[in-house]
Amino acid sequence: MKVTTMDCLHVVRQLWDYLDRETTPDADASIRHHLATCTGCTEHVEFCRSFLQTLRAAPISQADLAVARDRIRAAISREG
Amino acid sequence: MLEYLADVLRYARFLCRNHADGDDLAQETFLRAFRARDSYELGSNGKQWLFTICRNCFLRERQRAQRVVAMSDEPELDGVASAMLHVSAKQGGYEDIFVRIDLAPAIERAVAQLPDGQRAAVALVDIEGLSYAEAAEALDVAIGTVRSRLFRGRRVLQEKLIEYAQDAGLVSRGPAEPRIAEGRVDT
Repeated sequence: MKVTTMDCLHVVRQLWDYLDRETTPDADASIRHHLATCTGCTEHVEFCRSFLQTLRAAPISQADLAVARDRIRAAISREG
Repeated sequence: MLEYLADVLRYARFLCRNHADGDDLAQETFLRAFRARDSYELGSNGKQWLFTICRNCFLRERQRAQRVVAMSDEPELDGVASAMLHVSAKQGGYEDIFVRIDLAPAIERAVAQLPDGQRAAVALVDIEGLSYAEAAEALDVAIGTVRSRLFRGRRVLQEKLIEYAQDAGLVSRGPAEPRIAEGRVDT
């Protein structure tokens, strides 16, 4: 695996790809290498990571799920 | 397939922008999946299959052409813009906004305000955890299009959630926009 030096701008340009684990192994290693020594970029990454975690925690209520499940089962049974 | 009900329901609601239409769309999705169950290949990605049906139902029921959303040629610039938002947040003293503040009341409304393409990309990748390739297949677009829509959508969502927190008095208004110079981000 090739680990190259990457500057801050290159890191933030690939910020979302990195957080989504969509970077190549080489790019991933380079970004990690940069983050190990760059506090600013590490903070950018953590800020965006916490944003994604907030989005992914968007709730859906169990009551809504139960109603939807019943509706779908009823509709499918009407189909035969 | 009902094990994916929460995923489909959430996706359908995001697509429709409201619960009632989203619940109808989810029901229609499972009905169509039931009718087409013979075409489902065992061992393939059932959740992605349902998302594709859901999206197709949504487009069909709306009976209108997909809106073409102008995108930057460089979606990576939206990543840079997101980093800039962090700089503003840090200078404003609310860089922990997404950890400290409950933004759940604003998320659904902010997502609903996104253009169709961005909303679908955000819902599939960010809410449902699909890869870029899986989302591209579900949406029948190129991976690059998913990235463009996703990155733009995320940036807009970040801005809207920060605005929500500022309007609600939960955080202070940020300072002037930071700048990028010579390949480094000024912090």
